[in-house]
Amino acid sequence: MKQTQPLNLVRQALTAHGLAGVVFAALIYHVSLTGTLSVFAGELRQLEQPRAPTVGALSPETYAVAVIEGLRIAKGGEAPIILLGPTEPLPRLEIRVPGEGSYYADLEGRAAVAVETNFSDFVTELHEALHLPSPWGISLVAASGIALLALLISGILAHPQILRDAFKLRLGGSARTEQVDFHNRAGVWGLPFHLIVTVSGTFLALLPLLAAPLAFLAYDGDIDRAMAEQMGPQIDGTGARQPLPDIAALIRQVERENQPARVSFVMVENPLTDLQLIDTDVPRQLAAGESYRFDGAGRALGPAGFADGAAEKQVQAAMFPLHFGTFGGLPVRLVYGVLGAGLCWLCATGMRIWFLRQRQRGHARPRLEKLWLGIAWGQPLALAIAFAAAAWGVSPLLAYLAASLLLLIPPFTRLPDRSVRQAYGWGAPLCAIVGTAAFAL
Amino acid sequence: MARGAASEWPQWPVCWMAAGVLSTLCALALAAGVASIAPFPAGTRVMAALLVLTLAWPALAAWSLGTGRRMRSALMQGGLALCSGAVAAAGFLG
Repeated sequence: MKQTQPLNLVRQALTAHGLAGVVFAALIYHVSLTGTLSVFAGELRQLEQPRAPTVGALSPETYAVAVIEGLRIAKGGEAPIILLGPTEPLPRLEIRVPGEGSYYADLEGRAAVAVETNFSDFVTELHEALHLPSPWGISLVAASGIALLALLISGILAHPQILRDAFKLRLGGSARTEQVDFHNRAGVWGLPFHLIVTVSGTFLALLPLLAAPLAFLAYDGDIDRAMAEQMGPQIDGTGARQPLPDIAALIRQVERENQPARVSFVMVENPLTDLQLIDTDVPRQLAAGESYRFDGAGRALGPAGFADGAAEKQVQAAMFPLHFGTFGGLPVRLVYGVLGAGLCWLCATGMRIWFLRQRQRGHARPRLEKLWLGIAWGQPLALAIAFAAAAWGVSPLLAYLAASLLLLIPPFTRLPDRSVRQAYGWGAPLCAIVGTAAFAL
Repeated sequence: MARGAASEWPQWPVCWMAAGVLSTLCALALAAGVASIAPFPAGTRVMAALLVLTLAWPALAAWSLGTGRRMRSALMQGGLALCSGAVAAAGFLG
């Protein structure tokens, strides 16, 4: 049989694949699992507060009222006022004043209900930084992305007949052959998705860590120019208090000049003195949005260029939608959900293959197998327990940590592995149903 | 101890030193080099450097983990890191 790649390369790629997989499996599995849940963060937020006001397309006057509400919440302080407009997955208007509080507003723009989406916030933070302080958490997430990319690269190189084997599935043979075929088919068919979410996710994790030093090099140390070119026009606040410009007029101007785009985000960076940002969505484009900037007096400073500026800005603006599937409505998010679950499964079958191979070589690792059982089947249950706990007002982080530790114990007892898998497998949807019912009530 | 295991484990520190530390240094130096001297506008250089980092890092790590010639790969990565770092410094200072 003619090989398309040298056997030596295949062997080396398999070695790399196995080593990277074994060391990073738990982290990659964890980040993939929380990422899959984060795709549905909007729906989760609705589930957590089903009675919060739902709004449709908002008028500029509503945003203006919400900014005034933000000023009231800020109590005259200098915290930024952030308005998150309604989106397809989350049709709500949120008034956020960091350090002071977040509220969902009613149709008139008045703060109505305090935002209490503890589980959604917990899951997204777990995905982005593992609840660890910066830069450690985000560095670990970036490392998991690098490891996953290394696995994808070595997986492709280890598979010389990737197209010919695309439909190969040898069921009913040895357990290892079955697992290998499942692993390879899931890996190959999901490869475009895996590459897209891994490259975009790693990029998003590396961006806050390394963009500043790289910009320092690229702009010869001129950080002000780098900020203006990369983030859009900047201004130096005068420090003098001045009345807020007519926010409704600014929004009308932005929407009139950029039809059919709708404003989706408003930020008053430093109330009464400083920069105002008005972001719109960008219909029929991948970019997350365009940002229009005004100074404290309401003078237009120009767009940031995320929608039609330099290529690097468009690439940057496309990374978030690509990573979280926010560009095509619910159907795309459902596809992301299925393929994200597939990535978790790929991780689990990869470990299963490694354990079977170790057994066949006479190096069985029963303790590692038990530990992996506790992680692979325990983590979905731990997240579901955290969800149910959040519904009863318990901190999801504490519930998750306690559940994650406790769920590692049963695999090491005399209970058969099958019973543990069944208990964890049924427990997760049960806790999710209990949590959903509790939130609804 | 079973055959294979004895020869496998002692190589781990060497293997992970190359895959973890050297590939990271090498990818960072390559990214710094791209940010400093690539023939694009400054903003494009930043994005290109980040993309190079995102792709070169896992490729180098996979190479380090898979290769049987660890000394050679370590020397090559070390050399590449030094050259890229020197180019980045020269580009920034010059």
